[in-house]
Amino acid sequence: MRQEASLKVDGVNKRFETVVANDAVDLEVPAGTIHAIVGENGAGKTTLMRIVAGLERADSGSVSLGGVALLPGSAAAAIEQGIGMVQQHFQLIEALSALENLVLGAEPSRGPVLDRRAARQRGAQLAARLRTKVDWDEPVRRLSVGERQRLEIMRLLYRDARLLIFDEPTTVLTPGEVDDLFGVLRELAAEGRTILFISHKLREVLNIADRVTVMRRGRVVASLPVRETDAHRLAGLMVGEAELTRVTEDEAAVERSPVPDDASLALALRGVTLRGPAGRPLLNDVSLGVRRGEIVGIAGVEGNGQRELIDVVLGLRRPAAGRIELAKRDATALSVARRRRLGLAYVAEDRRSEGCDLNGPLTRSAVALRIDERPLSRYGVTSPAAMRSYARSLIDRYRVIAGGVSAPMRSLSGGNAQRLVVGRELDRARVALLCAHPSRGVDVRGTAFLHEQLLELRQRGVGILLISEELSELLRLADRIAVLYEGRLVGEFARQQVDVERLGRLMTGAETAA
Amino acid sequence: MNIRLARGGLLLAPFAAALLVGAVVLLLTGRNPIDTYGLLLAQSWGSGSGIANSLSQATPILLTGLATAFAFRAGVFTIGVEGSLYFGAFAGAWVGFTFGGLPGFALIGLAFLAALLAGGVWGLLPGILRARWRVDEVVTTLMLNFVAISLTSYLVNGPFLAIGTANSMSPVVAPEARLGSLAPPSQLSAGFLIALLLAGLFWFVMSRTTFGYRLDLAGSSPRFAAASGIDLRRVILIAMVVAGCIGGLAGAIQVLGVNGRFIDRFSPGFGFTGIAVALLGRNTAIGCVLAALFFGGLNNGAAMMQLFSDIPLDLVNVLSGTVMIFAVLDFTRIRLLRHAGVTPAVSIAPAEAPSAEAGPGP
Repeated sequence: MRQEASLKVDGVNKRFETVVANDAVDLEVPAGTIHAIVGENGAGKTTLMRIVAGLERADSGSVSLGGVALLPGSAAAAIEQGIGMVQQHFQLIEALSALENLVLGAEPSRGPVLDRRAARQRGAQLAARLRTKVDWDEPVRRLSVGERQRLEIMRLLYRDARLLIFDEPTTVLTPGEVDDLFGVLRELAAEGRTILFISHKLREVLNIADRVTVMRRGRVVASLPVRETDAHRLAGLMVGEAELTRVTEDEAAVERSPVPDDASLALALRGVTLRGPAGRPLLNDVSLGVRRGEIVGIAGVEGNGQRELIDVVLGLRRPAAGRIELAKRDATALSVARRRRLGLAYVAEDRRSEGCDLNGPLTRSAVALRIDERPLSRYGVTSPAAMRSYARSLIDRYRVIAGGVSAPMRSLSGGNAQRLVVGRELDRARVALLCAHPSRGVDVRGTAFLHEQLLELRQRGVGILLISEELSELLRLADRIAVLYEGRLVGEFARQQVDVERLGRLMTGAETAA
Repeated sequence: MNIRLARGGLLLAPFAAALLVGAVVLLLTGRNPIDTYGLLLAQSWGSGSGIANSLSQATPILLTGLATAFAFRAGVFTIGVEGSLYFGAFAGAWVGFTFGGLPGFALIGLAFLAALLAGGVWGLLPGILRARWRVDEVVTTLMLNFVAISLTSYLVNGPFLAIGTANSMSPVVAPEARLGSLAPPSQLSAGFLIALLLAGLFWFVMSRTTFGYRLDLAGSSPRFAAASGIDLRRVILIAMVVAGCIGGLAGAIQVLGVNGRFIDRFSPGFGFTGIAVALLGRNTAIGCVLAALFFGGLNNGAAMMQLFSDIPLDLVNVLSGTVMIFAVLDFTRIRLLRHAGVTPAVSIAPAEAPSAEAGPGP
């Protein structure tokens, strides 16, 4: 054990192109304490942790451990100083054994060869300290998620980390494993090590942490001892209660024609359940209807079933139980292509990999949904001129700024790429639109334009399922907002009756009953 | 426009780099590189018979190159064209020596059909494994090559061994089954024209049909393709089968055009050179034609050069090896073009990258 492990973060700033990820962030964590960082997605938590761990370089500001300033942007220096991070995606090599992973990068050696006996001895000591058993010869790919996480922790201890950072450590664990992890964290803190962890789950934070820091939009909005707060208050801080109340009043008050009572269902899910590899339900008995001319928003912290919802609606995965209907037709067994032919469109969650082809020209991405139609093709033979002219019409109609139809898709800015993607999908949305994070990475003006387009589509009688983590976006657009938490719909609000405070509590699991 | 120019220049870079490395090797062994290259060029493309032999050498690798490029375009990294080549060659030979009574046109057509089928079936198996259970096609196709080579070897050493020959080969095909010679006495046959025709068809399918569009999209951006309604499994299956068909055709053309019979282990790695042709040709039709001509000329020139000078055949191996290394390095991905916003139109990566859990981390 080396000396003092108190962490001090001083005025850290970090921008990614147009997004401010960290804005003058200060943070102090005394040695031997457990400190939680909470906030919505995109609040800047992970960026801050990566800066502390030397995985990211701050634009300005400093980080010090035990009074010693850290070399910015150097993971090697951070490890040397005793900082270790367990990332959301484990950094283990699946083909190597647990033992090899443990010592990787700092192998004990006898001459040129790995000293397996020394490694095994250290491993046994660490396992004893975590009160766990490890089959050291087992390849990592055969270990359970909980075992992998413990191995990651042992890796940090093997290198004598004094500050241990965890990025959402509990999302992948079963309840029993969570209890074990918390036991380990408490012991490590009792040894004088410092623990920092990111979480969405407020109950866990209140259970384990000494202090909690709330971040919102890159800023620290509060830092306080957990005994002086509660889930209710934290949820309010996270989603920016005061601000959102104002947004609600402004946005939700906007007059709009109500959805006609007799509007038919454009899209319906009935008792849809989807199971993961271990049988864990990723979507649990989800029932939801979107009428023609209605926008239904799905609120929720990312990772609570949004991706799975997209997969089953679009047809990329088949649910284990339940039914999906498009324009009142059973679409549960239909392929993506068949569903799209029925009038379903999809604004992709991840524009870069799922919404367009970055390796090709703009035209290739623009024509994807119309390539089989005249005049773009006849009897399977395409017309390049017609393809280009269709791409040009999308560019014009959706005001995409690009260097022409032959420009590489990759050369478009995020906002312009999104305009093209949204344009292509809106052009095909006849019955229902599945729309995920439409304004992600898009600037204010672009967002306003996209919102206008969505509202226009609503007027044309298309049902829109809008998945977003921007509450203000949901409040502005949605006729109803349903809350998705751990694969379940846990609550629903009509447009004029959104209780933002309660919405925040449902999203973060601070309140579970619907 | 100058981006296009720069890109064209970079496509030539592997050749330039290879010639440079070759020159160093020549200098180190005390030879004049300019003279040597001159001789190589003169032997391969400097005379009528030289050209004919170079084109003959280019024929099988143009076909295997197109087969490989087709699969690569769909994001399927097959290296099993060699296996399909052997199967197709045997099937073609079998038709040729079994149905001798038929008229030439029908006989050749039947032989080609059999070769397409045999090669396609050989591609179907790893295709199903990949599409259905995500079994890595690189491993399966590589292994199946050995199976194909050994199986055909057994056939011509056992049931189909030509009577009266000690060597393991099948009986000769009927004379009507032989492809017409274009420039006797060279081995250049009408097979070369068929290969060129196929290159033209490749171009048309890939750039002028909805089928080619889907294939390209699936290979270049599989998640986008799936979300747009393209059935990735189907694309993978089709790509593997078609690559196998073209590989099989390459085998039959080699039998009917050059060898006249199936000979045990006849291919000096046509299928593998096809991978180099596809990579060097950036998986495009015209690129494959040029790359096949390059390797064809190199092989032919080297063989001739050995007869007339003391330059060893190994030099050619150095040259073609260097070209391959530099071709595989994705030249067009270097910084210059990334800044210009250009990336290669096609990717050769397998559709599903392994999960990003590599790297030692902190």
